[in-house]
Amino acid sequence: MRLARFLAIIGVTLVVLSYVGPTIEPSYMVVSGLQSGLYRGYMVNAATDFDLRMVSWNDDSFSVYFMDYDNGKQALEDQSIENVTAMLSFHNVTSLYAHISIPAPGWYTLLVTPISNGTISSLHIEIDRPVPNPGFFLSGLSALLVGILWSLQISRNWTDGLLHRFRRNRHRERL
Amino acid sequence: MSDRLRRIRAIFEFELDVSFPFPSAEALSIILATLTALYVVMQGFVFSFILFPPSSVWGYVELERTVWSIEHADLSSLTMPIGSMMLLLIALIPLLSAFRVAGPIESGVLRAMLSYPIRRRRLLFLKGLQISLLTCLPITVGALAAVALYNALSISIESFWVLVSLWSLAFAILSSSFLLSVITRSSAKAAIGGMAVWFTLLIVALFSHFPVIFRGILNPVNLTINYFTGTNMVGYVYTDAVFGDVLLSIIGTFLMGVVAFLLSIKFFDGVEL
Repeated sequence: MRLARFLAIIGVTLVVLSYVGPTIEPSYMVVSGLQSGLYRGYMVNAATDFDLRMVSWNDDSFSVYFMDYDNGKQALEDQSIENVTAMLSFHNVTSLYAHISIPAPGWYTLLVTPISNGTISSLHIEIDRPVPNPGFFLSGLSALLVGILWSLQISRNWTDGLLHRFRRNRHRERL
Repeated sequence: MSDRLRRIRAIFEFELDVSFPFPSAEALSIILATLTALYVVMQGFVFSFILFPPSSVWGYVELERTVWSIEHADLSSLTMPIGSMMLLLIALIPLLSAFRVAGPIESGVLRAMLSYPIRRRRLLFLKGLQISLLTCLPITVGALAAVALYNALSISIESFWVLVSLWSLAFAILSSSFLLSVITRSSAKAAIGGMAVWFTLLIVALFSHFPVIFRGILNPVNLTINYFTGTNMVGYVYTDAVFGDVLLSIIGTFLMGVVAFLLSIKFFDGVEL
């Protein structure tokens, strides 16, 4: 009975965590003072699709490249994006809101660069994770269901036992 | 299930219900698991900053570290939470041990418990098992769940070594706290003494003029983390450690725990109630 209750409690905790997790992780960045010809990038660990928001405060135009980890590493090693394949790219924008679909969980690279002869004085990047986190949510829900069903099964056995004893005593009294 | 196992299970459940009535054990486990999981979540999504072509502040070493952090992201996201939880265990395990071993000796509850057909050493073992399950297991499960389910990272063998070192240290803390509890027979003395001893030992392990093995035995978690992360993380203190040192320190800490546990059984057998 105790283990069944414990499973149910663990399930509730995981479900709560699936909502709390995305709100506490660091998902906010500021790019400032980026000159033309320089690329600044971030490695993003993504388990699921996410929303990307980018806003330039001084209407500075910029370009964004989103690519997988291998291409991002290649860009870093070559110091250039000539030989890399970007999954998504946005050119000459001052703000951006995009839903990024990823083929598989893992690391991805986000590169930002000003347009030619331009600079980025202040650019805010925000990544919104899905709420609830599917990993925590599904495992929590499973644990909760198993815990509840187990508790019901145990209490049914217990009730059956009580009923059986009650009937046996009544039968003895009649005799 | 054999009779012996059934009896042990009954005593385990009885001891759990007496020591940690519902929902105190559940609350403790969930607090520890949640704390660890949230800590891992906070560490796991580090957006590693990169800039190219390299500027004067961003050289090849930073690039190497960035690539290393990403390729060992599970270890990077586990090390800080495990290091912090280790400090929590140093406070928590002596308190729980004092509460569950010295407390019943003081209050006389142990005499009632020993009226059941169970050997003293088996009772001590069950108490130790319960404290381990209530402290180390939630931390391990919380950390692994956050890495695998939330951060979606594969768990490398290095992360398992870090967790093994935590379990080894926790066992040594538990055994020494049991020893203090049965020697002092006072929950206050055992709790404060246990915490003081382990905090002192951790401080001693920081002094670099002691041999690596000695420091590793006192704090295997720090040595294991430092060995696997190397110069890629801040706080690198073991410059000359090899994998053999890590292995020896984990085994050494475990053996230290075994010796303390055997001694506590010896003293516990002789405790007059």
